[in-house]
Amino acid sequence: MSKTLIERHNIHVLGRGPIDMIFAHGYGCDQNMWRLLTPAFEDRYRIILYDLVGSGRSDLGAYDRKKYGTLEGHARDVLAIASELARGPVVFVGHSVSAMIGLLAGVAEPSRFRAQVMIGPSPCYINDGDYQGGFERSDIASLLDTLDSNYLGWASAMAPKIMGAPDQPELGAELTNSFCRTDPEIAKHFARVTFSGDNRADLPKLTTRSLVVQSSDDLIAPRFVGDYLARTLPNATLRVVENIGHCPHLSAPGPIIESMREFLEP
Amino acid sequence: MIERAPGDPSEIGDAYERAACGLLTINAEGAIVRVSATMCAYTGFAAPELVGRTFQSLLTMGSKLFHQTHWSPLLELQGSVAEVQLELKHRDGRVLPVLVNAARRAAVPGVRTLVDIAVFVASDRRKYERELLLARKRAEDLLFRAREADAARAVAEARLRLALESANLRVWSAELPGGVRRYERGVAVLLGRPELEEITAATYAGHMHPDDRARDEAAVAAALDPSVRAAYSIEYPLVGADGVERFVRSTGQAFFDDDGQPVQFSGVLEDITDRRRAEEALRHQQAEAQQRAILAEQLIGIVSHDLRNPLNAVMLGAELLGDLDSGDNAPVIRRITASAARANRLIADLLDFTQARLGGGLRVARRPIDIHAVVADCLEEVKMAWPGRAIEHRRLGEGEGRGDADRLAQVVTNLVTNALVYGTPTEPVTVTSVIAEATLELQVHNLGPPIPAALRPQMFEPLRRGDQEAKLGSRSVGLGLYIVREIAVAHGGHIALRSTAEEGTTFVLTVPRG
Repeated sequence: MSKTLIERHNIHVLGRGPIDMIFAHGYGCDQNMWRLLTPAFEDRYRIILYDLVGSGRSDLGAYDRKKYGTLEGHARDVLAIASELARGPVVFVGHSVSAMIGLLAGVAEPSRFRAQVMIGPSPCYINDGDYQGGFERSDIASLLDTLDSNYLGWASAMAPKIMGAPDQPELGAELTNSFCRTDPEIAKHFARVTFSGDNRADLPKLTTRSLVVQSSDDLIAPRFVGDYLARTLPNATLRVVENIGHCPHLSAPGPIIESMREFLEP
Repeated sequence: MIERAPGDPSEIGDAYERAACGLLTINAEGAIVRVSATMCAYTGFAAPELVGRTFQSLLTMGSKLFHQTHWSPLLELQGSVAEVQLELKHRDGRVLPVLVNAARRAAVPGVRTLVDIAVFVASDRRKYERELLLARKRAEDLLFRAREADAARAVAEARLRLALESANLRVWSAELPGGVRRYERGVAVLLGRPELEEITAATYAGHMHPDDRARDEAAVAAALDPSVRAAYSIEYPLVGADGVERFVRSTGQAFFDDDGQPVQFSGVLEDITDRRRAEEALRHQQAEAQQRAILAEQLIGIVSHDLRNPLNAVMLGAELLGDLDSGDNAPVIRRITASAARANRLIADLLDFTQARLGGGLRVARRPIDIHAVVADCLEEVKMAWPGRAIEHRRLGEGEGRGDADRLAQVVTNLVTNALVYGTPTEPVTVTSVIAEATLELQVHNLGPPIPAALRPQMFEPLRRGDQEAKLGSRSVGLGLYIVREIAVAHGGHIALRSTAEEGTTFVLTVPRG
């Protein structure tokens, strides 16, 4: 095991199951997103958690704007982690943009994947003719502007400050410092890469069986997109979960766990 | 208004409604269940319109995205979020920058409960922050540019160093005022000392000749004088510690501050020993070649001059023989006379050439002449030598002019002979003598193939022939046109040439009339 890979991605390995399961977080936060989901799989899987380079407690110095100028760079990282750590084909669970990163990795090296779980995925956020991604280009510019206005906060620890969570003592200081925080310039770059990407042409190339988990009301990945994915991916199952928002693994972990189990262990 | 004591339930409700920040409560689905009057004012909606709507729906698109990707996950995991900047969209389209604090009541992971939200207007703060942000970005840009400039300078310095090294240049510099020159490592080589030895100004000066030191001091003074700012470039030999003499060129420039005071003086030393030796060798060779050429021309002059006497004796003898004998020997005598005359003309050309080249130009004696008569007399002689060829003479204008009759006749003879040799034999050669208001002109024209353009620039140089195949009757050794031009120049005039396939070839000599 290469030490640098572990450090670069802040990799954590949990569980003792025979099958490896890699969890990849979406845009905005880090691997802590999975904390409500992982306990349900620790018994039957060995869980590999990591932070995308540029997010969380990853090595920000390794954020090469050229490599990560497209999602391919992140997909290469997935393959590197799988090849270093996994004992066989893995189950890849990707939230939001990471579902597309998993897609690209799965197209490049199908033999490394047993199954893919895509939570709130979208192959293209921008509306394009009949395709309703949900956003216009100007919306992405507006997001970058919002990121800018939280720039000072990120940089000076003014905001978003975690006000303390007395009822969740397990959320220690270490977590509050890293969760959803990163270098603002990287955050903007990653936002641009995430929200201006278009991976629709890659969808038909994925041979691995996949589960598309679609929230019933998700601003970022609307229903149209989930239907489009299920229709276009050659080997996909669509599950719509009653949930408002883009992070059902946080707001509706129960139904997510249930659909994943059903899909993985029929 | 009814006075109410603090703590009165209705007073608390009033405080909620009119607090100095917008307050609202959302349920597990994100829908607003309660909203304060202040919050309603921020959005332009009445409370009944807001209840049931999601908090997210009140935000701009960028804030919605941020809300989804950052705010919501934070709230889910931490139970509370503070001081996040978002933008509210007012009913009338205005955008209101706000700071948002939120806390979940009785947070239980995975179970959504009510969330209380406080919204503070942050317009001014937003403005300041924008300014700070801009300032920060500007600072970052400057830093970035400074870094780029540093990198560029490092590259430029490396390139300069490479250039200096490959050109064998050594740098010296002096901080002013009063600083002594510092020499970079490697200058020692020029002094025949170990390469790594540090060279002080005194050591360096010790290798210079005292005269060169004085010369150098004067050059430095001129370069540093603010009113002169002379270019500094000086060459001198250095006597090496190894006994080898090396020539160096020291060039440099002084830099002046805004007050015109010199602040820095720096430059390079170049070892020019090899170049200087090569230049000296070349100069030597050139001088030798020139000397040889002068000698050769002098020799021609002497020889031609000395040949004349015996030749004159031959001609005189032949003339005498001709007078005595008009019988069988007459053709032989005529041939002797003609050959001697040709040799004589050749010698005359050679003498003219050497005089033109070595004597500072041909000498002419300008006297009053009738140019038409000069040409006519001359053509009579030429016609005798070229029986059977047509030579026409046209006269334009009348009056006296000034010129050297013999030299002008020589021009006519040379040009007409050329025209006869190179022109079409069946066509006449036309000579036109022109007396114009201010000039005398001689035009000699023949039909026939034009003179190739490539030959024209050098036609009037000595020892250039119009044609490699010497034609019958040609006596030229390539001096004819050279002498023609020299005669024109000696008269203060010039010679010109027109030559085309249609019009044939015309030489025009123009000299001042007066």
